[in-house]
Amino acid sequence: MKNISKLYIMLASLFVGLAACTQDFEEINTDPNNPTDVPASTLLTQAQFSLANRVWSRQMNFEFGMLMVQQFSQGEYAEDSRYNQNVSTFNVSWNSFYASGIYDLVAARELVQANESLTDAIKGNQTAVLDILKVWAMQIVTDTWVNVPYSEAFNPDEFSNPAYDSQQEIYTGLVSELNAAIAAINESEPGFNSGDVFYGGDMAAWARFANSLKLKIGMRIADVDAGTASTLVSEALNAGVFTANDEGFIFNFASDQRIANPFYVDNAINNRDDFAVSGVLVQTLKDLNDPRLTAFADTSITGDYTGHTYGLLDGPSFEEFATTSRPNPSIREATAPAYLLTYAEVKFFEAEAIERGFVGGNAATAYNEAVTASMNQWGFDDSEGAITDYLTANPYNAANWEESIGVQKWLALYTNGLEAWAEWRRIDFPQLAVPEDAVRDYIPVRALYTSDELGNNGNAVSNSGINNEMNVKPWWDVN
Amino acid sequence: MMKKLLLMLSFFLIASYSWAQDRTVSGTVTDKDGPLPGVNVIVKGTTIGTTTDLDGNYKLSVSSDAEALVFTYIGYEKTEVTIGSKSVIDVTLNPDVQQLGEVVVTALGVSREKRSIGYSTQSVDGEKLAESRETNIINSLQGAVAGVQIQGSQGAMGGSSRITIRGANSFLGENQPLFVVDGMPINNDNYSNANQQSGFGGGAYDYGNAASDINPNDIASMEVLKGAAATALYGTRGSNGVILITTKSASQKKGLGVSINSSATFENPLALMEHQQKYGGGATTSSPSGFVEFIEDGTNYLAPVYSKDGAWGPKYDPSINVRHWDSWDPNAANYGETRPWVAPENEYEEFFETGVTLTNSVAVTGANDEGDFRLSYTNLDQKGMMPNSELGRNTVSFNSTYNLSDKLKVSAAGSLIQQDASGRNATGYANANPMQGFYQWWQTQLDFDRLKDDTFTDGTQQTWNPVGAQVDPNTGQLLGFDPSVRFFDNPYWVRNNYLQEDTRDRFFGNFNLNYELTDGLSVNLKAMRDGFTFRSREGVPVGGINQPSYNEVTRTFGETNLEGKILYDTQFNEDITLNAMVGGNLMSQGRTYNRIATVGGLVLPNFYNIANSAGSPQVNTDFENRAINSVFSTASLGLFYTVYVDLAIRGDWSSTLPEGSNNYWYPSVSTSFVFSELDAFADNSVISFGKLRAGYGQAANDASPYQLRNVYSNVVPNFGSFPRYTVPNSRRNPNLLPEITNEFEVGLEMNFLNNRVGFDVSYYDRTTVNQIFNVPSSSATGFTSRLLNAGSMRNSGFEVMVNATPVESGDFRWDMNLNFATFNNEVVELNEEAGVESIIAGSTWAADVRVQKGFPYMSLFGQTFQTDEDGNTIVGANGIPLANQDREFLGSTIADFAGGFRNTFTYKNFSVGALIDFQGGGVIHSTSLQWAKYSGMTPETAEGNIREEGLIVDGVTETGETNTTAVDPQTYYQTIWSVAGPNVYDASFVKLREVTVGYNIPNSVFGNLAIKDARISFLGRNLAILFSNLPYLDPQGVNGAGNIQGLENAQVPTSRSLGFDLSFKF
Repeated sequence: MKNISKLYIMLASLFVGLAACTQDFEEINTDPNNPTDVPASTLLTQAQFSLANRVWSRQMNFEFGMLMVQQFSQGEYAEDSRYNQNVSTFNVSWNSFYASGIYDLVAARELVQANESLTDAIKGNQTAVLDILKVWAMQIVTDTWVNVPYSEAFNPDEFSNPAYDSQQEIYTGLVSELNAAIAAINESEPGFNSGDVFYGGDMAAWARFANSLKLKIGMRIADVDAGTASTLVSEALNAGVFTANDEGFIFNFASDQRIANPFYVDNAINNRDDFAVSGVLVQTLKDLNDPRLTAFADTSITGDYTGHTYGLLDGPSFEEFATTSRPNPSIREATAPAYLLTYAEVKFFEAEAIERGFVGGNAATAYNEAVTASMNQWGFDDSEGAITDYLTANPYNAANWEESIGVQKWLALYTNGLEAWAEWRRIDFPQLAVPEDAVRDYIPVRALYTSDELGNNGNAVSNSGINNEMNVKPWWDVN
Repeated sequence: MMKKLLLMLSFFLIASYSWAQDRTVSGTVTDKDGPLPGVNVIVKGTTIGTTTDLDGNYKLSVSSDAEALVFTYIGYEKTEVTIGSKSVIDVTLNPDVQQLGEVVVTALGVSREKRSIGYSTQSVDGEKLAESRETNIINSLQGAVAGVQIQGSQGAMGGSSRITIRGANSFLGENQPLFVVDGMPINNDNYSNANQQSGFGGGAYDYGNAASDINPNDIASMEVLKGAAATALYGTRGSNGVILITTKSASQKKGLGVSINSSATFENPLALMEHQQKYGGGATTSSPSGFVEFIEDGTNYLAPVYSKDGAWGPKYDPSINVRHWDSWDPNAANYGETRPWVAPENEYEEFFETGVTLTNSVAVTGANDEGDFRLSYTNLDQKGMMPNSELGRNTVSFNSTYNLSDKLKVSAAGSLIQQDASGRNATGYANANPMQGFYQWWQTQLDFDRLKDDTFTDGTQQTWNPVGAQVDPNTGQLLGFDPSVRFFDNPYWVRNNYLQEDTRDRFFGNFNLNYELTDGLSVNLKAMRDGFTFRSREGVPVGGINQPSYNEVTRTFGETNLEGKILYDTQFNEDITLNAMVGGNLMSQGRTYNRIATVGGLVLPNFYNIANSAGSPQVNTDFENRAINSVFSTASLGLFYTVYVDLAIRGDWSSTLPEGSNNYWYPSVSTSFVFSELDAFADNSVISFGKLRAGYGQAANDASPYQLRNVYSNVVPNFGSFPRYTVPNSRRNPNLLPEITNEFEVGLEMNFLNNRVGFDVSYYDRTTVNQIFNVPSSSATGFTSRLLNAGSMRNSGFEVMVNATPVESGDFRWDMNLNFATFNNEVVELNEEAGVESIIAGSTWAADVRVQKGFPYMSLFGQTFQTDEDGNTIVGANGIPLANQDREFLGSTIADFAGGFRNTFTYKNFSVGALIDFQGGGVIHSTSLQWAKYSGMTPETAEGNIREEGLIVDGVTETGETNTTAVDPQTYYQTIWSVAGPNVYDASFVKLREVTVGYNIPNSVFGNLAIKDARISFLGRNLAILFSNLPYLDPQGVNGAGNIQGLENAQVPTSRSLGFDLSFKF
């Protein structure tokens, strides 16, 4: 009996000894599928694609932004054009902006900062590029949802439940981030030699974009804080903004369907045919005798350009759909670019800044340049005097500059739904009507906080300072 | 009791003396079938004894004063024979039909008498299991075991089934029990993701759950270990219960035996949605006729709106002739043909074929003095209900024991399994799943005989849902016909042209060496392996709505366990027994995943090959490895055949946890008190057996591999020449701790009236804390989730089993058994610190299932209609009810109770059995019904004259008056679809699960033929839903075997099967 106990104890120790042998565990548990270190440029490329792709996505652009400003109309299952969004509608986009696109910029910034092999100048340039992109994206986020996490965002160790900042605070923060980035740029040194899809590491191009962005930020707050707006706008124009279409902030999608234009993916790959060009847009273009009609829309089966009545119930909308115009095939090509901030828009801002007295100059000239830039962007030139004729027929009207700039900008921003929606909210032109069968009795002026955010950061949402409805205006939208 | 204690003391005193041994007694021990090897023969009142050899013979020296010999053998009545002057004592042992001697297999394969067990287990007889002719053993457990719940796509050929024991413990981790075959843990992976479980996932196929490889025909018995006290020895992997399967081995009788079994069953859909019979498909247009009106070659035609995938079309009228969808092939004779606008002769029931399942097996057994073997072969050949679906499975199983010497025994057991399937059904909301059309988006006038014509004469697809006729709005002239697909391919074309094939090659088995050091002390070494390679090919054809594609996936799995045990098993005398064991196990596990897929479509039609990719193919690979080292020890002491105490402890070292917390220990203790042994019950004629038991156990769970360090993940393809990496959305955690489950259970077992009636009641209460899960976080942190130890969940419930033999008279016998279990579940806490109160685990458009603090696991949330104080629905001025904006708790998807009730009648050679099983409570949200109503497909959308006169919702206006506003039903259903309430149903059901009628053919029938023990039986499974609150559909048919349950979306119909079974031996 004793011997047996001894044996038992001996063998038990043997087993424990064997089992506690864990020296291989470190190796066994090392992830063979993913690296722990990558060049910052690889994150930059992905962030650039991811953000451009999101701003151009079905969910944010042609099923939201472009519908809110009635550039598109839904043919079947017409829920979004009747403002039947709910808290689940924006989950993917919200998460994509914060956790994918912008966070990759933040992570890339950390890698750049920690990279001791970079010269100070290059490090400054790379940091500036990442920060400029972040400011650009964050402005879109706050313009869409108004008050959003900013000062406590992207810091998971310290703030697991980031608070919501007021839009005014966010704008203040964005301006200071952008100013610092502009100051850090050294145009004689490269930025990202590899990985920069937008400008290929050309820091002069980044500087022009940064100042154009500053102009956009400045003009956005023109109604609510004219003093700051005036400063930002004149600084930006003095420092140098876009001077030609090809300098614009344009993302060129690739032919591979995984990195192709979302319009193409939706239509050609997913075989969706859900959107027609809206009747409001087609009528406006026809009224103005605008050549861009043929670039924006496709002919319907009857051979005409026929707009689709905006905001109908499903049944009537579907019946009309067979004979209305789809978007022009050129915007549904795989490699069709995303015009994220254009020379035309910059010129419209300049015209408005002159009109408001922020800077000197001739507003009508700037307006004409803006319209011309847009015409050129859509493939029309003035060789046969078409643009001149158009401007003669539709001249700048200083007395009602809001309508002149508002309508033309709305046309120029075709396919950039979120920006068109932001500028429509600010300028209130063109005048759009709430459809009879709309679920909400107003045109939405903000997107809803998401069900994910309500579930995971509910307290912060409650303390955001605004109600989670679609009629809460942005801080800069004062009328 | 006191007497026994004294006896025990005297045993210790006497034990040190040696006994005079002065004569020999020998003999043969048999049962009714022949010699019994391994029977314990002990001289009464001593420790002297031996066991019988393979021929049942024994020989024993006994002292002159020895009174009697005691023969004991597991499963047989203890038999005592007075020695007197006899030198040959032959004994025939009687099987112990009472529970007293019932043997159960417990953790790590240790056989124990059931009376000594301090926790709940339930045995399932292998024959009974096989008789159900379910091809997935999980399904055969339906209604058979208290506390076990089965869900999944039962009926889909080779589909996956989910089993849980005592509910779910882990928020997002594995909740299904561990399957163990002959000591070897068996992989039960299923490949469905969260999207697929909530009905999405882009037409992903249901590849089944890997434990379905276990061949029901090879199972001798199954033991279900429910609680932590029973499973603690399995460590991490036993924390959701364990299903211990013992495969058949040779009977230890000499000679060869052959047994043969054949069965055939035929399957049909059990439940299908009803379509309304008054209105056709498409839409009602604003034209005078409501049809699309057009002129072609001077003739006026009417046509339904082909491109609308719904059923709000014009009312049927046999006098109206229209151009149906199949009248547009310019090269076909019927171009331009019109036919009446009437309900179809052949509805979609026609689409399903009769499924056929053929199972044939043969087993050869043999034994001699040195050893024994069993070799079996089973062939399963299945044709599914969906056109072009087939599954075949070949299983070869072998086990053998060889006695190298009296002390050294080696044995091996293993199964080789090879499974091929093709044409599995795609699941959920996808064009590849024809059910999406039939249940959600359909034109009701379509005749299925005609739909079979799925191609135009030029070979391209002809669908019922083309973009269709293009008519000049001004002239009414036909401009053209666009045959391209609007939303839905022709379902026949899908089944004829989509590619799905898979194969799984698997081996699992074990090799044992057992050495008896001294009496009662033995060493056991065991090497075990489970490994498979699973290959699948999927293809989407050219010419349909989805982009053509093709992919190949190879998954491998391998697990090796090396186990060593030292067992000490002794009976000090009749009254005191000790079972002790110490052991260790080294587990290593590896998975690989390789996928190669076409990009950008296929170049050539009908050529499924990677080389046919339009773009350069995409390759994904993934490797996953883990290891767990363990030690364990148990001791079980039995006193006076009355009180038993079990202690067990296990320690694990896991590779997936950080150094410092990768070693964790957990104990269990249980006790059983057979109070009917007390003197007070000695002469009780009512109570024949009584046992109280109590157990406590702890289990722990480690993390998934690679969760400790943050990484970057690659994104394909490169952007031009630029590679892309991204920070994954889930943040890893270097400080993980194991998650811990604590469970307490008590039970009472009693038998009455000479064991004619008995019950077994358990109550358990189990809490899992420190759960490792991806806590969803505000994505503003940069991550959508982070891995944390957080939260706790509690499960409790009663389990009742009742067995009775109400009648036993002459040749007639009626047996009854009932099992019943209640389930209480609460998510006690998620993560207080992070402020997380809810995790949305899965969602559809209108409803989601959540893990939410204070609610049961996987609770259903969605919007409901507003009601007044009296519960009346409040209806708006437009006649449509007003909805509450916030999503509310609509019920738990977990049942309140479930069980089964079986009756078996035996008369002479005949037997008839029936099993009814049921579930009470739980809710299900039906996306199919949501869209079927939206689409005008179900009868309620066409009730009375509502389409002409409008429907008046039963409710009150906002000012409290009775609602009298009529609303067009199309507007009504197309407005309220996003309100989940009307499509949430109680998931209770009662089903006639099984009926068998069997006849044992007397051996005399075969005369001189070698055939014996022949049995023929007729069986039916899933025969009828006797009660359900869910209209049309089967409340058990959800998507797959994952944690997300309660969201129905285009369910594949469950099957009713009927068949027969023949077995015999020679």
